[in-house]
Amino acid sequence: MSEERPDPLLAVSELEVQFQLPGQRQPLRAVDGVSFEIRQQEVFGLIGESGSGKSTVARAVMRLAPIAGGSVRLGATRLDQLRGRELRRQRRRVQMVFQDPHESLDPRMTVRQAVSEPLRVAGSARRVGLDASVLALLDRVGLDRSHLERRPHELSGGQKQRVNIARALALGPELLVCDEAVSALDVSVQAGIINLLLGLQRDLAISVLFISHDLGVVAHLADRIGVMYLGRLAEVAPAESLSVRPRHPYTEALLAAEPESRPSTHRAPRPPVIKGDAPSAAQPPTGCRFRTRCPYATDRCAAEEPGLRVVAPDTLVACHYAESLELTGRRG
Amino acid sequence: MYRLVLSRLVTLVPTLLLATFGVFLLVHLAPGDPAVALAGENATQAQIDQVREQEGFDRPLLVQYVDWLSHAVRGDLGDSYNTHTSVVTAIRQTLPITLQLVAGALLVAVVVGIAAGVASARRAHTAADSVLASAASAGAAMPSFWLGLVLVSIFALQLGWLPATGYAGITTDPGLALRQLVLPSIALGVAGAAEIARQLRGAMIETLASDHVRTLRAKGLAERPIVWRHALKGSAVPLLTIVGLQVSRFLGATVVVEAVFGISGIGTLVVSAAQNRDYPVVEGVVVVMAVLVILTNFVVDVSYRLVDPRIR
Amino acid sequence: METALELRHLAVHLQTLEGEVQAVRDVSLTVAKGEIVGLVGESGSGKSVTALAVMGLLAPGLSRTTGSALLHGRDLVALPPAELGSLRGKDISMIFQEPMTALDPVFRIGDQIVETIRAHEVVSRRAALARTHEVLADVGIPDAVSRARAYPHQLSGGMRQRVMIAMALVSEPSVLIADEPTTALDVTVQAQILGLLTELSRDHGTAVVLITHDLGVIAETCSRVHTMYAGEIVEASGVDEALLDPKHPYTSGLIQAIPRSELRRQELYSIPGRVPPLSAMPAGCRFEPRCAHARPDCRAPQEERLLGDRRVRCCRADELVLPGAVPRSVP
Repeated sequence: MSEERPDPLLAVSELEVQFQLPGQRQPLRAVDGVSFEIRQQEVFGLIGESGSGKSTVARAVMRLAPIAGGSVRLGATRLDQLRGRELRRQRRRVQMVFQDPHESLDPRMTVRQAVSEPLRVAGSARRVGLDASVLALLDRVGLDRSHLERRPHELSGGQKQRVNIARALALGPELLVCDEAVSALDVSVQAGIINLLLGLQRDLAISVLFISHDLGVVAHLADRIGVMYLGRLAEVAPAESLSVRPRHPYTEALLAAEPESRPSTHRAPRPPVIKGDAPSAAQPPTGCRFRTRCPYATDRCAAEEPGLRVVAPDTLVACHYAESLELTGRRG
Repeated sequence: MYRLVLSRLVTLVPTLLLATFGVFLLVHLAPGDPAVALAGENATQAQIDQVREQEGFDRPLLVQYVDWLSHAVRGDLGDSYNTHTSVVTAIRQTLPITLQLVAGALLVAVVVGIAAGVASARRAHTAADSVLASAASAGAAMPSFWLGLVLVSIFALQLGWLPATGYAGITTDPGLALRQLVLPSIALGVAGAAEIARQLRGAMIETLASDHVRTLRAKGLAERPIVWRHALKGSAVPLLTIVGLQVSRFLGATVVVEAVFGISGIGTLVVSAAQNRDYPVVEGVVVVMAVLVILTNFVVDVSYRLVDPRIR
Repeated sequence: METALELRHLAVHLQTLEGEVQAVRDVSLTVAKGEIVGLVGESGSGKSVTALAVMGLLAPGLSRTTGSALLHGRDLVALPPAELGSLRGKDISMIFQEPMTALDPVFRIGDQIVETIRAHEVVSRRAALARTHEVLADVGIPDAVSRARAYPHQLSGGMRQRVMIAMALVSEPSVLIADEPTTALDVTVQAQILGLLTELSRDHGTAVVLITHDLGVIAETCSRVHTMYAGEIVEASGVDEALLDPKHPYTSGLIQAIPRSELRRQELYSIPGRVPPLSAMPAGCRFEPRCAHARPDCRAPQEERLLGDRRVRCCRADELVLPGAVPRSVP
């Protein structure tokens, strides 16, 4: 399948991230064997609910969370094995935009200072070149000269997030990781940032790892989507086919639960809402993790954990019955 | 719950060892020669040397400490140099009196402190709040002995409402004892009340502005149960912390208040012992005080768990 | 249908550091018995302030509410605080956004519901506890008797929100105001909670005002929707009509900003500009600075116009044809 394709930009293989909770003997396996790749110039969406581990995956790729096992390759470099100066040097290739635009900015720094900081830290010290670079970055994100001397409290939520994006792009990363980057914004502001990200990805030919709990936003932005549940991937598929023809029961449940802003005359019937709460990530069910809430579960699902395998072109699913289940999606 | 109690008890032992060794060190490093103190002022050099050898003051400090410790764990804190009676006896006679005084001060501090703290929080940012805040600052600033003297001068000497000095003990004459406790308790407890009021005000203002109090109002609960049942319990953790701290303070400040009011408590005992270089008494008293402070902290620690279920 | 709650020209003024500002202006809406009505708007639209004003939960010295809020004919705005307090939780209830912080962390959840019951009625603790177990089962909490002894931090977000709903509905209020009740929850839990609200409203005849920024939630749960912008209601109509054929440019803008799978990778419409600050509201149409269809007339203050059974605060409502949630067929 990937014989004709160029090498992926990011290759994550059997990634494991664990956290030791106080008073518990077993560590919490927040990410428990996750493998996926992000191709050149691709937007890869990672969706899941709380406890799925999607944010932890992002942090692990950024080397902001301890990696207990597996590997993370950016191009030819093993990010998970880097240390010290080499790690700091490679960090410029992957940059992150966080959820809360306000918390991400130093309230005492002006926009100019915030955006030029990575450039100064990386060694571009010459004042003249610096200013020009900052202006160019602001221009890319839809801000201008008038914003330079403002501080965060003088900016709107959308403007703050644009500053964060400009700052993330300052060092010319190959991969931009967006962790719920639009979730804290109003809908109309969100649209602007989504447009911006789409434009940037195209113009700069970078790849984006876009993490969100909002299926609608991810389906709009992404080329391919990975669905996570309780620390593992349930399904990885191209965005169009994921929405129209999901292959994992959890994906079907997510699609069914997502409210559709369409009049009742234009809404297709959907399967009933899934019941219960997600089990504790500290003690996942044996076998398939989703089986306790899956309407199609059998004994086999309790005994044997399904692996992620190819079931259709460019589509991987972790379900024993992926080929036989006819699941309901959203209209295309 | 039991695990909590057990783990706290386990840390109790090293803490006590550390505290007692520290005291031992300080006492013995202070200027002055214990042999001279024991032998008396008029002793000759030969007698002093003899005492030194007898008592083992020439041994290394650590050995002396271990010797003292081995007696202490069996309940023998040695004999006073001055009275030659057992230290334990002296403490047993004076400690209950001090504890009654501390209890009185605690009562004053808690009742006045909580009332003032709640009143301030409910009227936050109004004129009444400013008045209470100034009163709290003044209260915190007043030295206990000064306040004691002022109280005695007004209420005992000028007005004659309450006795000036002395303390009979609650078992001997309860009526008199209670009247005798009033002024000293106030003198000792006012600063504590001020601190409690200040801390409680802050904690309650925060609690009263929180989301769950908004829910309580939305439920239709009246202001009184919101304040007294919910907000107070929600502020219990900082409140218990500050009360625990005040108890420790009282144990120290009692020395001064006992002096002003002529109460023969453990404070008076230790002051005269220190002046007379009566090392065993000083050591014994300080050890007892250390144990009391550690026990207070232990009780506060355990109480957190009772009040806030989120604390393990 | 019997009207449960009617807001008439409700206005709220707030005391801020810059002086008094008007957070809510001329809000009128009705909710009938058993109906679920939506109030949609973005941050700063005034939707939460409206709810808090109706409930009498705004800080007394710092706010001033005018107009009327009729609950079965009684004007809540005119009631003295003590009387309003006794209605709260009994005839009209409210649930909030953050289930994590909305419950008192140091009391058991069963006790908190019992307290609600006993705040309004003289019943024995045992009777109140029995009702508590019933209502907890009604909201789908399994093993209600033992769960009632749990503390909030021992429950998941979805469970906590169910407890909030139980607490709000235990005294069978006529009206429930739900302020962003599912915003902080996972999407599968959100679907369960919305389903629960719909079912309870149907079974008990409770009128519900559902406040949210999410048009999808409105579409699937409400029969009618009010769009709020900058403290005013700019459009009020049935949900399907509002989505198919919005009459106010802001409503249309909101609809167009939502990503849809058929618009994959295409540019979304993003309303230009920002909401004006409360202290500097335009005297005329508040949306005019950002509106693609603005005319000189729009500088005059806009009142609500009737368009059939719909209300729109726009002087061009009868002439504009605006994009909705479904592409219009080309004539």
